[in-house]
Amino acid sequence: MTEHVIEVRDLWHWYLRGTPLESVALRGASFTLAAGEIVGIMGHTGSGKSTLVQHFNGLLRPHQGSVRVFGTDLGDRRADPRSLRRRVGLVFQFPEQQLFDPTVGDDIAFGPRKLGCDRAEVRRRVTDAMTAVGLPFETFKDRYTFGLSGGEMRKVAVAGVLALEPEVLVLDEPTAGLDPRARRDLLTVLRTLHDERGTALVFVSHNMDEVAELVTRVDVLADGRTVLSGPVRDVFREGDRLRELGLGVPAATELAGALRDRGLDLRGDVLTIDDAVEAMWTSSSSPAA
Amino acid sequence: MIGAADPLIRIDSVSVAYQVPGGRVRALSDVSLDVHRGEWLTVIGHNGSGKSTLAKLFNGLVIPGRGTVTVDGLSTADDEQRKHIRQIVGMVFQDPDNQLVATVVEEDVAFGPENLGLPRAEIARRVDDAMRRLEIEDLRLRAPHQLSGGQKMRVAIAGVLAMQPAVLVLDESTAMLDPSGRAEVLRAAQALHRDGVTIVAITHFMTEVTFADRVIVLADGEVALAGDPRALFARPERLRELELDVPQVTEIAARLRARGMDVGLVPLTVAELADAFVRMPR
Amino acid sequence: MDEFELSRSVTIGQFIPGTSVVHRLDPRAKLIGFVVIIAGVITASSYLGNAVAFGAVVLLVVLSGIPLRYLFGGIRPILPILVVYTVFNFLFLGNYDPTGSPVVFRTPVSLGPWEFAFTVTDNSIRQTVQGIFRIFDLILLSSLLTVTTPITALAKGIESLLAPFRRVKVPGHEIAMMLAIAYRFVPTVAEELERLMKAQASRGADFGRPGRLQFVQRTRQLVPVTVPLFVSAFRRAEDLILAMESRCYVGGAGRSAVDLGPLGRADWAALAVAAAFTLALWRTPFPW
Repeated sequence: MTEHVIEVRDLWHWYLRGTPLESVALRGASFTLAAGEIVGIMGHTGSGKSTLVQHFNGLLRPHQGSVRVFGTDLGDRRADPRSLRRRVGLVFQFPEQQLFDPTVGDDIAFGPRKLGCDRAEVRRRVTDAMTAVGLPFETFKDRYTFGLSGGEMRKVAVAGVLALEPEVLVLDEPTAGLDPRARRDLLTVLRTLHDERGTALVFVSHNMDEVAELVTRVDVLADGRTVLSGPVRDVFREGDRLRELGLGVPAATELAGALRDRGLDLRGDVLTIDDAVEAMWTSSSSPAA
Repeated sequence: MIGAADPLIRIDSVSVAYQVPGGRVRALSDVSLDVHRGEWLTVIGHNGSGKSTLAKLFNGLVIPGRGTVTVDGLSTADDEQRKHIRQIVGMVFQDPDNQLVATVVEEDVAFGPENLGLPRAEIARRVDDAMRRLEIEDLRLRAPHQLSGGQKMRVAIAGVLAMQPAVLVLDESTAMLDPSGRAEVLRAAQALHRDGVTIVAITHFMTEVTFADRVIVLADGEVALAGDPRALFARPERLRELELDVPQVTEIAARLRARGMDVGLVPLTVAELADAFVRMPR
Repeated sequence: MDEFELSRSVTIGQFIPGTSVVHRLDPRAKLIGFVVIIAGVITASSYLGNAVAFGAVVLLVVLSGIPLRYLFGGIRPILPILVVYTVFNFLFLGNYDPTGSPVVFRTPVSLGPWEFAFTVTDNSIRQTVQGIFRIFDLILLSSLLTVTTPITALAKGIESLLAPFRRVKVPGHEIAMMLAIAYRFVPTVAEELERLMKAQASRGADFGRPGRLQFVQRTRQLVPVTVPLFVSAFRRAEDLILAMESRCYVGGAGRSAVDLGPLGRADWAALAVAAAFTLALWRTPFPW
């Protein structure tokens, strides 16, 4: 059995614990991640997705249950999460809001400098990270951070985390608010990151189509609990269940469902546009149901 | 006042340019378009196409350097008329938080009518009505930070509705929301449209185009395409050139057509494509 | 307690609903009453007078049904400053005693080229003690005000009271509006701050308690948080301006007036009591 890089079991977490405003965010959620995997986490707003992923790099500690990341038990008070933050990079939603240095290169260099890297190493990591996100080092390193476009600023923010050279990259709604081109761009960057460097990716997303395209496994959270977990095709087969949970299925899957409802016999699982086109093409060559 | 058949808003040969360090940036070049009473017009375009500048022309937040913008016959360049124009054309923005000013929902919805100097009884009536139509009555005494994105946006729309505008401009109002929030806002806009409110929606989500009567595509500060949604979707390659998405179903139909399998129409929804496909002769 | 939970601290001073007589007073009565009582508290210059004033404030808190301990929690953040202030007063006020009261003790001190003295006089002791009481009174009273009055009522009360001064160019509405907007954004900005701290911590930023007052270092440490907050604050302001102008906001001119209705019997009674209290404090020749 592969050693899991992240292992969450029966995790409970409360907000404002001990105050009159206390509320439960996670009620026994679970999650696993193996090295180099691409996993999706889905759930309606308030399902606990963000709370869950904030445990992965030690920002939050488990109140009950266990969280092990790279072998470190985060329930242990003595565990220092700071070393984990180098190996598990967390990119928040709308990450461009965290940019603070007026120069692009310096903002991205923040992480490596905090790690104690020397000048040459910092430069190497910044160049690498900028190349990875598609912002050429020479052209962008001295640009005014706040003068860039939304999509570019987002890339700078992601590069800032990549410069830590994490083995796991967790992204909360990475394409939220981006226009179609910038969205496609960023997804390509992330996929390349996985393919070329073996970085494990965890996507927290509402976008069913994106999830279907990229991930191999999906976990669905609802009311602080993990309610569905498995290969992406299996999870999206539960269309009714997902709709009940306030989520949807990819448009292609919905189309397949609509066709089957109308008596058409479609072979296999349909997740992407390609799946749909193939299935519809082959169904028309066989006798109508 | 103009006749009922005349366009409610007329944008005539408008150009807008900004001064930035290093020169002038042309946001809009010689753009003309009309908004007709009661229609749903969607303006779509990639980031940088000029659509945010265009949105601000409708209620005089931006005055064009060249050309004119008239609302119900009144020019937005006229300082005296601006308050009146902003009562006719209401606008809701992208960030759900940065348009709510009051500490409780009820107060925020009343903000607009209060600015118009209306008597208290009338304000109360309008607030109740707006909150009912946006289905936020149970949120009356909540504070903004306790609301979801979709709820905040509906409060913002209610606040504009309480001023009884003829036109509601939605400036990328769904961009920062999750899918359920987006659905809430679109449902609300559809209900208002059914009641006769003219809707101008500025967005980059191609899926929202299906609600529109008419669509205008902006690219690089100019009008690149105009027409009804189906006419637009019939040309996916052109849309991709303009850096826009095509809805999944339209893409699927286009690819099938490329293989020689024509479903016979340009589908906008899953149901349309499914129906058309099963009806196809084999 | 979780490292990044800021929402806890933000709740101090926030409105707690209730049905006490203090809660139900008109905000205008509370605002004026507040000013009148503070005037009394400040003019009390005898030990007994201070005690009576403090007792009255405590009585008011009890009447409101808010636990005294909760309101005293508002003092905790300023406790260090309070201690420093008191110690300095105690040691040095005596040097500037205009009443020439008897000196309790005096210790000349020389530190290098500087020569000064720790002087404690009867009067300086009195002043120091009074100072502490006055600060407590002020904190308790202002907390009581915000805890028993929703901010909307407070803002309306302020705007309503300042309305007659419009003719002398006092921007009453604008002041009330600024207060309301600032208050409205406190929880929103607190959430943003929390997210920022988490995001920067995820990049290796360290917000750990340095322990001692390394002020400059601490400020530098916070740059990844303060700069984005400022940038975001400016963006908020720009967005708000557009949104407010779109809803025909042009300032106070032409706006519907605030209508809080006439003051009730309880309100007038409360004002009368406050005035009587302050007058009594002022006029009573306390023996000590």
